[in-house]
Amino acid sequence: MAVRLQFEGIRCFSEPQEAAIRPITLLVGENSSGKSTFLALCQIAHAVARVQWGDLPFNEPPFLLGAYDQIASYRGGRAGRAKSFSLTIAVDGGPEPRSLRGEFVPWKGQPRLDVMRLTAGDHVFVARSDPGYFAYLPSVAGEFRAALAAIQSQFATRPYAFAPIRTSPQRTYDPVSSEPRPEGSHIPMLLATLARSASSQGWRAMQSALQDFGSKSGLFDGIEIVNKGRKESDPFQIGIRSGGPAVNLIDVGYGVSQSLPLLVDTIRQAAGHELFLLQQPEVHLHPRAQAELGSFFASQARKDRKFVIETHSDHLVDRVRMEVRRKKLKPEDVSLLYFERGKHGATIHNLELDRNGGIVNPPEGYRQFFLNEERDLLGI
Amino acid sequence: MCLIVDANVAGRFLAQRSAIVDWLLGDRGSPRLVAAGKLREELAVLTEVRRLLVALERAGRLRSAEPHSLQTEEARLRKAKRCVSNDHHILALALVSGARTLATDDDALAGDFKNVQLIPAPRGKIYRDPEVHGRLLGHTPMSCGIRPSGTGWRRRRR
Repeated sequence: MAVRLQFEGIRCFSEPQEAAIRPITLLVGENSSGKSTFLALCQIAHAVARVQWGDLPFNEPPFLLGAYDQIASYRGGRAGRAKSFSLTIAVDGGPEPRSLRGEFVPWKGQPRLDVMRLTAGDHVFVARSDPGYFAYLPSVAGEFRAALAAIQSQFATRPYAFAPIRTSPQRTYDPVSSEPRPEGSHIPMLLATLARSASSQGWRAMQSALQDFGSKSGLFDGIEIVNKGRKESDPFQIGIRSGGPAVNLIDVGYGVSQSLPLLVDTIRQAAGHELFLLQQPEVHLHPRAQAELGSFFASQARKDRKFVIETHSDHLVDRVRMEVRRKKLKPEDVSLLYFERGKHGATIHNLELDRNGGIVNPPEGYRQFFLNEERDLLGI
Repeated sequence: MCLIVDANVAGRFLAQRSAIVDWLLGDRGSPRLVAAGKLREELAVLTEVRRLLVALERAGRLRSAEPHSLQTEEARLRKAKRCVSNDHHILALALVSGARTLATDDDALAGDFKNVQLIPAPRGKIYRDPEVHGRLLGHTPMSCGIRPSGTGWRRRRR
């Protein structure tokens, strides 16, 4: 099934936009072109799919969109601030096109879900909320039930969002909560829990998966937990092996501690039906490791396990395209979204790949900055 | 518009400033360089050209072709023994990709490329001299499956 998000009137997207979400979705473009807003919309889409009228995640870490006035597009002049905005989840590939559209209006300074439109083919079911009350989507039947189920299956679990900057490493960790946090502060405890568990199978599988990525990327050869006592409440350290005895996590390159949360959580959450939202996973990594991240995500992605990745790394994007050429991914498994900032807001271009990983439909001006730089660098 | 550049003119047309490089890196139209298989390997020998190919690839301006289709077409051309030149790989690339403009100094290859018995309609065109053949780079982008981009194309058609 193909999933598309359609939206209008949200932040820099004053005009209607549409973007395909596939097993690997890459968001590229200049700063302030709406890539992070799109990631936040993926998180909100989960709430819309669940028909969640209240407590919508407009300000849930790591995405803080602000109040209604910061979220609704400002069109300037007489148009002013958008009176409402909308987000639609469209699912194709079934017997008929299906979509769920949420329309939002201001309420006490915050966006409130006002109308839900569930479409199944030519039929539309509408539910409206009253201010101060939250309506319910009554138990829908027949075609509508199937349509809602198809949409909800695409956002079955809460998206797993990572912060752009992950937590700094420490020399010694005290056992605390392993509750997931976007910045990955739970990772050391999660690893320690795995290492200390009676069944060593999970820990060995994690070590093996990390070692595989570590050796291919040149980041490390292995990882281990160094206990500083016999009790579970005793502190511990994370040791990184790289061609010799283990070294403390804080004493190796910063890229290791920055990439560890992405790797561990991605490997750990391998249960299917997940949507991972990543902001610049390549930070602090050498191009070799950036490229390897592309292969890592390609190997982890499936139809029911999607990665939406905001990136400025050519190496990561190139590697994903190479995985298409190597037939590890199908062209239709990859959605390359180019965010272009214009005078009247941002535009999303859906770029398609061919079987060689080549971009089929680049818009005029795509990567023009890089082409100009190349000409200047070559002195031609 | 899709252009094939023969390796024997790559140093002149791709490794230094030229009308072709300006066109490929410029912001007008939908320029595409077509290079695949053996030709891509030949072009990538020159460091400057290799860099240019990477930049074009990332920008979606370098078109490739299926290796299997190229090999099949090249074998068919060799077997037919109708080519005067020995650049079967370039003729095969034109047939597979649909590109019909070739930059080359090789007279034998130019003859083959314009031979409609080998490369069927639309007839192939040869780019040699920027002064004389510059208009070829501004040609409506209809070859090698590139869709003209929107309003500009409609305006040109009128």
